[in-house]
Amino acid sequence: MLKIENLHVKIGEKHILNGVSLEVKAGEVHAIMGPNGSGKSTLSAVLAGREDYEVVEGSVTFEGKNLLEMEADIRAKEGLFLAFQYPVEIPGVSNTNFLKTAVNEVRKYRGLAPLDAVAFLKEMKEKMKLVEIDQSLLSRSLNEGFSGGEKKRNEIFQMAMLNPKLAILDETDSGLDIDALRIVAKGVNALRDGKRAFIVITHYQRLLEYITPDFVHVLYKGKIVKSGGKELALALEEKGYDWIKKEIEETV
Amino acid sequence: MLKDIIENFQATRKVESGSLLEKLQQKALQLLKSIDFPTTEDEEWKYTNIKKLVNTNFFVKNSDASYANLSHFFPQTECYRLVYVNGIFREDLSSVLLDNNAVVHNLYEAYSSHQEIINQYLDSSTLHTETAFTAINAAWVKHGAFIYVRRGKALQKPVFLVHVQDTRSHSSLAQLRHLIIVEPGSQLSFVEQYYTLGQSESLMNLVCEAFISQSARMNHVLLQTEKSLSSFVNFTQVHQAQQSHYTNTTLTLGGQLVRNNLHVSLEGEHAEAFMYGLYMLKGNTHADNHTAVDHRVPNCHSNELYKGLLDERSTGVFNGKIFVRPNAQKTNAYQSNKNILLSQQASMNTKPQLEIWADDVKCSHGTTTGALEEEPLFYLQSRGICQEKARALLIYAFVAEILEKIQPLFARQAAEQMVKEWLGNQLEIA
Repeated sequence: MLKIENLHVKIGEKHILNGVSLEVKAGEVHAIMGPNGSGKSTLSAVLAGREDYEVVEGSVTFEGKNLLEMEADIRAKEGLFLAFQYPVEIPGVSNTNFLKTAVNEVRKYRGLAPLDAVAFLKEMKEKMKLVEIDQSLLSRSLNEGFSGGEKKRNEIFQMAMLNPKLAILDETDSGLDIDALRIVAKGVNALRDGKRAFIVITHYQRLLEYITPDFVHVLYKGKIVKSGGKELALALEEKGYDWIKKEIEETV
Repeated sequence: MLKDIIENFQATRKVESGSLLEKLQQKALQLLKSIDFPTTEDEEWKYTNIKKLVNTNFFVKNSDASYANLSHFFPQTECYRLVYVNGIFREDLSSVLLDNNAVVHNLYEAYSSHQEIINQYLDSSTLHTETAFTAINAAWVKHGAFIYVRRGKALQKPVFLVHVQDTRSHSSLAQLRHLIIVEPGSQLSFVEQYYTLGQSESLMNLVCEAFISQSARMNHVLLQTEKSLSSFVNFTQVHQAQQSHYTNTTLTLGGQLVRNNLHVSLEGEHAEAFMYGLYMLKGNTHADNHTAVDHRVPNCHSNELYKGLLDERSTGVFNGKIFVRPNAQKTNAYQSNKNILLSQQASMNTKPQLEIWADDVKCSHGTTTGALEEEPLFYLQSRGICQEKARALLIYAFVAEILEKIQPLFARQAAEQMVKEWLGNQLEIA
């Protein structure tokens, strides 16, 4: 589904990703872990289509198409979703109106008829239950005045509404208490249907207790330096990142 | 040039000899011999160059525009309707009111039955001598809305004034002089809409004076949606007595050169004034909003919010003055001006100006000018909304705060529609 090959990315003169390669197949859950500043958020931003980054080398294909050539909205329409680490507050844009616009834009692109008000409401009610999100949040301005947990739940709610093929969760666990974490994980797990793929980006192993990954990768200095199964996450939790850093330095 | 036009086209401003209207006209003509139009040397006109405008050869001509040419401009709502074309009242297209409770009519027609009160207010007005623009207006004083709501009466319907510049066959200079008197405890909603028909140059030179008596309320909406060759100069002066309430919303969505002067004078305690403005400019439009609120007595409240969007090569000016006189203690006065520049070529000059002589007051002002924020734009795009639509959504969110203030509902809906058209109909949202 997603194929990243030898991806090099810089912002200004600073090289952040130095040859990332990763393949994600349908239905798989990949966790990308790594210490702060290793390039985790850059990777998710580049995949979602943020423009401040310059791809110097390498390629990314999504279902065989060149992802890097697509505008951010086309990537979403093709089925890529990014749950933001810091969802932005947009006063004046109602959550519901925004979502209806987004859902129908995406449907139009995929050749589906737009949802009318009734069908949209029904769909919304169904997906609201998944993330235990309150109706009152949806009539408010997008993320405005939401708590950290409400913002993250809203991200997962949007994901559920937009039906992506691949969802990238960028540090969705940061700043969440255990209850919020559980709710977010429940939502994600409900959306694991054997076809949808996930990339879970996280600093800690905590979230992976709730969302079990098939693969765990360690990103360090802009490169994936180690890959393994879910036991790798446990090892990282136990021993920290230092042993990996040491291992890398020794092999150089 | 503008002054010479006064000498020609005398027939269009003919009024009864010996009447006050004629006296005002004569006085203004005298005054015009000695005063000149402001230049950019003048601090108040520093960023608005009117040299070309005042040297344009405008015609002052009645139009043969028919109901069929004009009716699509008319509001489709229950209202009293005053229709003007090229500055001349069209009674055939208007629905007026003239009874013991209230008058909604053209100034000249109302003059015969309400001479006394019109004389009283017009004669004492200092507006006519303020600038060359208001003097020219006075030299033509004849057409314009006369709205008089008697003590304790509320008009059952809003008043909509529709002005159309018919420039299909020639340029046009149109002038209106409104006089609005809202007596104690009464209420009025007044919506002014200005349109252009045709492709030649035009100028609307408007003077509007409103007197809002004790405990009276007035809602005032000005919708400027003219074409790119239409200019507009506006002096609106509002006098508020104690416990009166005034809301003004000024929307500028087009035109060549637009200059609005809105002056609110708070003359009785516990009066409240709300001034909202929205200008959405593109092409070469230049829009200049000068506002002033004068706190002359204690315990009054004023709140002002002007928002602007400037695209392409448009230019904007905001100058907001707040005066708090020495005895105007316990004044609350707030002012804010926020602008978004949508292109590199657009520019905005903004200047808040507070002059406070009292010491026990709450006053604040603030202004921001910047580009549309990248973060929200990317967020919306990342959810599958194309850039154009995402921009439209964010712009609409920015301007909605002003649109929400517009009363009556029909005027708000009309304004929302105009804004959506301005945005290229990217939005289907309610």
